[in-house]
Amino acid sequence: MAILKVENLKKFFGGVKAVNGVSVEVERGEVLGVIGPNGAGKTTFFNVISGVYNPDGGKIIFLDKEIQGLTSFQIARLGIARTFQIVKPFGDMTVLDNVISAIGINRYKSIWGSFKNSRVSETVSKAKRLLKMVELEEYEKEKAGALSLGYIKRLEIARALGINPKIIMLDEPCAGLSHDAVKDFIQLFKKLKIEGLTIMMVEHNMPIAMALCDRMIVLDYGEKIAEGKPKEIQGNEKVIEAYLGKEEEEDA
Amino acid sequence: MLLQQIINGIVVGSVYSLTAMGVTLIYSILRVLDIACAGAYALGAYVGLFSYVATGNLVLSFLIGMIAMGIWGILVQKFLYLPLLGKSPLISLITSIGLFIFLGDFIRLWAGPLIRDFPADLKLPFSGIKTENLTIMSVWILVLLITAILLLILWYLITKTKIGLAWRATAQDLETAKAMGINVNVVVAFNFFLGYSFAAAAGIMIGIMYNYIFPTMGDVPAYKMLAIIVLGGLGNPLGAVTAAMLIGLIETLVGGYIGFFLPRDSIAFIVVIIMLLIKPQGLFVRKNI
Amino acid sequence: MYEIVIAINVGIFALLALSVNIITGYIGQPTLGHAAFFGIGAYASAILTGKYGVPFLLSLPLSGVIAGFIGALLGFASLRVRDDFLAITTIGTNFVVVAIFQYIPFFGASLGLAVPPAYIFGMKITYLGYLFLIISLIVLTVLFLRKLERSWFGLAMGGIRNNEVAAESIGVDIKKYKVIAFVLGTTIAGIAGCVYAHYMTFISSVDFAFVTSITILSMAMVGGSGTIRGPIIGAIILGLAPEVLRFIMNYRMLIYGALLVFTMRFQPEGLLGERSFLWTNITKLFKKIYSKKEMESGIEDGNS
Repeated sequence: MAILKVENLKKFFGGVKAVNGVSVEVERGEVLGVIGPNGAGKTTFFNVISGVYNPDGGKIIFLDKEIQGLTSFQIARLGIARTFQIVKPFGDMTVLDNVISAIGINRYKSIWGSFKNSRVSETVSKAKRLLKMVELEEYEKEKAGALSLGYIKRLEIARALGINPKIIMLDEPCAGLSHDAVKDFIQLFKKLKIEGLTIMMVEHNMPIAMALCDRMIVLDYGEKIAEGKPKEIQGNEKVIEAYLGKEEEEDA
Repeated sequence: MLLQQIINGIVVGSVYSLTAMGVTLIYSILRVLDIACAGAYALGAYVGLFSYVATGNLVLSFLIGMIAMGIWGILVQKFLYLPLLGKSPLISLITSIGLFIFLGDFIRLWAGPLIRDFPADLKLPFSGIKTENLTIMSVWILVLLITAILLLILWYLITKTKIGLAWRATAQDLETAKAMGINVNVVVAFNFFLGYSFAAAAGIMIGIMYNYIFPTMGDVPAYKMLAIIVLGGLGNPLGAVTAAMLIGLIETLVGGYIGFFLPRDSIAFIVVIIMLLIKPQGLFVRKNI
Repeated sequence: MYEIVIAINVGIFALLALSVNIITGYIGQPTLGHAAFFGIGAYASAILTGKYGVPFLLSLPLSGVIAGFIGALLGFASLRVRDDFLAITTIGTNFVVVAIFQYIPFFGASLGLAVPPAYIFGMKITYLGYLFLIISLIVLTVLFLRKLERSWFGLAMGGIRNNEVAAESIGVDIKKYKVIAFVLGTTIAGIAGCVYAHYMTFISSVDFAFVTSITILSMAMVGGSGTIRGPIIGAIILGLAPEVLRFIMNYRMLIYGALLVFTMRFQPEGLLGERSFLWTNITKLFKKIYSKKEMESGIEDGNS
């Protein structure tokens, strides 16, 4: 059962067709990988779905509701969470507050309601539970900005989970991480799967992507050039060409 | 009459463009709105005056004033702005305002609160033009000449030299420039040297034009330059010059022709507010030279 | 008596510093023309009580509402104009507002405006009364800000201050919160203006110029941006400095400028900011004392 349907999505920046007619259906509970060479438009694709950009064409249907054109906070409230390729922690706030702030997603709807106390035991314990899940509970009083990159990435996941999402979009969760940090991420990822979350993941690290995803789509120059299970993608000639071609470009 | 006003406006605009250039250069490199640059404007005028009184040589006085303020600029960026890089812009803004207040009072204590006369008997190699419809004073020609020379030197430095290339790279992305091996410290120091020396030149020129200077002479330019560089597109040197000329012309024409009921110095801000509401990124979007 | 006047002044500026801190310290928007709203409140109240005979107690909130309304406009402008451009727009707003007060006869133009003395329940407010009033207003504001800091509103503001895109990704409507923050900050400034106008009994445009905006902002930042103690301490330090430094009156501005430079350079979060030298040491000291007490009572319990 498709939880998210993307139909012919387009996003242009001036003359650049960053996303050019991409369609895909995401099944409930699956892990969908979005891969492709540098500049393929993967993050832009995520940005359009999560509402950071408005699309120039196409539809996005989430739980039978069209969401293209909605603002990113509206889309978040509908249940789509995300992390960011370039991390965006709430740096001067504590780790705990970073997660609590997300738990309040429904509180931000009404100005009057948002004046209520945020540190009630219910939210605090939920936040601590999430921190425990990403193994950051001992840092709860630290300022988020003081953490190392790997920890901030875990914090972003905890924060994203705080909004109680139906689907979580991870944008390059392993980028810039050390070997050990990647291993930690894989452990965390397994926990996420146990929760039954639907996960979309942009990942440049091929072995990780292949190992963790149920299905993948491959983008190149804004277009979808392949879709299927990791084994199928591995052998796909178009995909290999796209990556090799880019390598040649970079070597030149 | 209109032509006279236009010429007046261009002269005023020239002085504005040098001062605005100082602030723009600094903004391009460090993304700091440096109000203290107007302090270099005022202090430079005083140094210029004292040099002229001591030496009687106008060119030398300009040079002394400009170099003195250039060196001051190097010190300011090294000890104040570079360490504050990456912090909230409000912090460097308050710092620059604090520095500006300090400089203004310093001048008052050093040179006295009263206005100082700039000697009017400047011997210039050319004379002004005086017809029945038009008066162009010789000092105005001097101002236009110096402005043109300085801006040309700047243009040459930025576009044709190696350090200019380094400057442009640093202005685009400081971290990347550093990573590429550019000695960013030298570029920033060079940048401040230029910016502050230009401001000093402008201050001296104002002193020559109006024949007097005073400790708070930097107050109005401090804020007006902000309006001008926003109008010209923050960090865009060509835009800054254009905007400066524009404001100089508007102020002169509107003030001279229409008895405007709001003070002259507000004009720049009114223009900027109107423009920002229509085009929030500025009239000229930040150019990559 | 003289001390009371000084206290009232410090109090008014403490209120102003607390109000500007909502916009700069909490939600992170540069606003460099806050004195404009101080002035709008002052002039509004002067006209309300002076020309229309509105009772003082009513003009107090009304001045706030009027200032807050204009503040909302600036809030909407902040949605369109960002960062450095916004900073300059706020400066420009200050200049324009002051120019309006300075040139339009309705506001007394350059002669300024006389303000009738204020009466509460038929009694004329004395200096002591004004002191009591301003302290009450500060207390109310502090209570409000404490509630704000602990609420979802406070978290939303923190999100916006740190990273707007991330804040939106957790459901925060940035536009709404920015405008409201501006409204809150400018409304309080307007109320401060009303108190100022009536206690001074005379106001002129000069009182609300850009210099005053910088004073207010530097009080908040020198004291401690984003905290409640910061603006109050900042107002006390920078407000009392002219009095304390009376003997070196001649060097006042020099010292003021230097103070701003050195504080921002070495303690950019403010003297009592979260990570400042003073605050971390004060909290360390308190923790030491507290844990010592705990230890001592623990030993006592163990012995008995």
